Amino acid sequence: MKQNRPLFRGFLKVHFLFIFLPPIVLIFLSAFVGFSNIHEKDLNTLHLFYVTVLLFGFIIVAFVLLSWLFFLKLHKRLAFLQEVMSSSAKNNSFPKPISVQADRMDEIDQLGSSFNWMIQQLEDSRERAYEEELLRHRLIVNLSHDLRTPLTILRGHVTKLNKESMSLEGQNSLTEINHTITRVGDLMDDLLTYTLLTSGKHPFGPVSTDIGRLVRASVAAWYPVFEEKEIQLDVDLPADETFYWEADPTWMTRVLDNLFQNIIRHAAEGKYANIVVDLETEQIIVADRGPGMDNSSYERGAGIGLSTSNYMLKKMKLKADFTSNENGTRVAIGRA
Amino acid sequence: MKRNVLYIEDNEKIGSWVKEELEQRGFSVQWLLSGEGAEREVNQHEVIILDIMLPGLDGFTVGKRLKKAAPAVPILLLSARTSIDDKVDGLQFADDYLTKPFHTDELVARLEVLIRRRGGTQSERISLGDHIEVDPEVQMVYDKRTGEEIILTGKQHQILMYFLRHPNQVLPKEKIYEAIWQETYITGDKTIMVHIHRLRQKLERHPDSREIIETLKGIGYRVKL
Repeated sequence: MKQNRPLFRGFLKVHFLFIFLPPIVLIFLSAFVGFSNIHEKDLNTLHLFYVTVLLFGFIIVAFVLLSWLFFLKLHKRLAFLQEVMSSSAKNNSFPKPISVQADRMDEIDQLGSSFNWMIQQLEDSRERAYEEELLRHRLIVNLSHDLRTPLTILRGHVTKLNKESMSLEGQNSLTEINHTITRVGDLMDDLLTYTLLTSGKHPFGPVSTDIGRLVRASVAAWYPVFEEKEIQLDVDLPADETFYWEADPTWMTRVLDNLFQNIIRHAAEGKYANIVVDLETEQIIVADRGPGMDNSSYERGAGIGLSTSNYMLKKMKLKADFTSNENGTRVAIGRA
Repeated sequence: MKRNVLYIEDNEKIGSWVKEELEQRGFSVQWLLSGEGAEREVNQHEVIILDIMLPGLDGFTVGKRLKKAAPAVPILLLSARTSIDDKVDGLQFADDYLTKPFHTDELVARLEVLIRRRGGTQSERISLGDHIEVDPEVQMVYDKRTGEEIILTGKQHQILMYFLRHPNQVLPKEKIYEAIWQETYITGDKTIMVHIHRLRQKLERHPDSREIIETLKGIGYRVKL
């Protein structure tokens, strides 16, 4: 970057002039005015002494004064720069560009100009990241829509094939294909939910939420599904007492939906689900007797769903503790 | 008698498969590749299956026009769009929403519900258990064994009608209370339990039986139809 008027060169120039200019002026004046009379010699010597003292005094005072002014100006500009930089960091906001005098362009203006350039770069990269994120979200949303059409066609062919006579092995393969289609559809749902959630499409509005009531409503909605899958529901939801969490009821319901869905998808063979609202520990406990997270299709299918749940719980300052073995899985949701 | 279905779907593979499946199950299907001209056909059908991603006018616009042309014909939206926003938007005018990849058994079951519901508006009596009958038009409850009317109090009647508006659903006590009393339920309140106990005394064959109003312990109540 071109440096128009270096600050320190200007500082040195002014000082140089103030130190050398007065003696030169004095010599110049004495040469033209002159002190020729001999009887005035003593007087002139005394006069010269005072003039020299005054001159040195003036030079020192001028030097101190100029330095003081210079550093005051320097300090003021540096303090302004520091304030601009630190205030954006303190407020966690993006810094605003500072004004730079283009005709002056000394070292501090150069620093300001570099700072502005850095902000511009940051702003550009932030915009680029935002656009990329938007594009990624749009791509996932479109993909999850577009993939459903071929999946439906696939299911159509499976249904047609099911009507043909074929070996038991062939029928088993068709059943497996059908399950896979359902699983891919579910996975796309989870992916879409997670994408919409992290892109802020599901706004977060925490309110004081009656947890007993919320869990009861959620279990009531899921009851027919458990019943259809012949899963015995062992429910312990206190009727006369409850506790409250500062949570978003929609998000909390989604977390429970995800847990219940996982039981249906991955632990239905255990034929048992235990849902408890524990008033003492202020926890929601959901347990099943499935084959456990390591031995079931959990790992293959529940990843995005669990990430979604964990993301939502973390935002609500809650956490889910998973305990899983070959006898089942237990999830306890409580305060983080 | 064949039930007429108007099916609007632009994907030929899905369209021909669904048409074939429905025809095999006793439906008569008129399949259109776009919403163009659908308004002229709509009144000859008992139910409409509508895809959302259509060429030209999208399914939302076509659906709204069809609903305006024939408000009594139920619309089932069939879509690859699964977000809650899309479902909520669709259900502003449609009667049901099914996402791809769907199973034909589910599609047929939903179509039958829609057709039944449409026919059901013609005041059919509802049977509860073997011995109770409700006439929703005149809002009266009868004991089939004696033919006599069962007199219910205002709240008991409201609770029963609420159950009939939400058949086969498990309804938590808070939800019933707030729908009937129009005020916030306070944890521990026993009002709803008392009213349901008294309603049972009038409806059930034996006061302690749970034949009509089922209790799901800790969850809520359900009336199965």
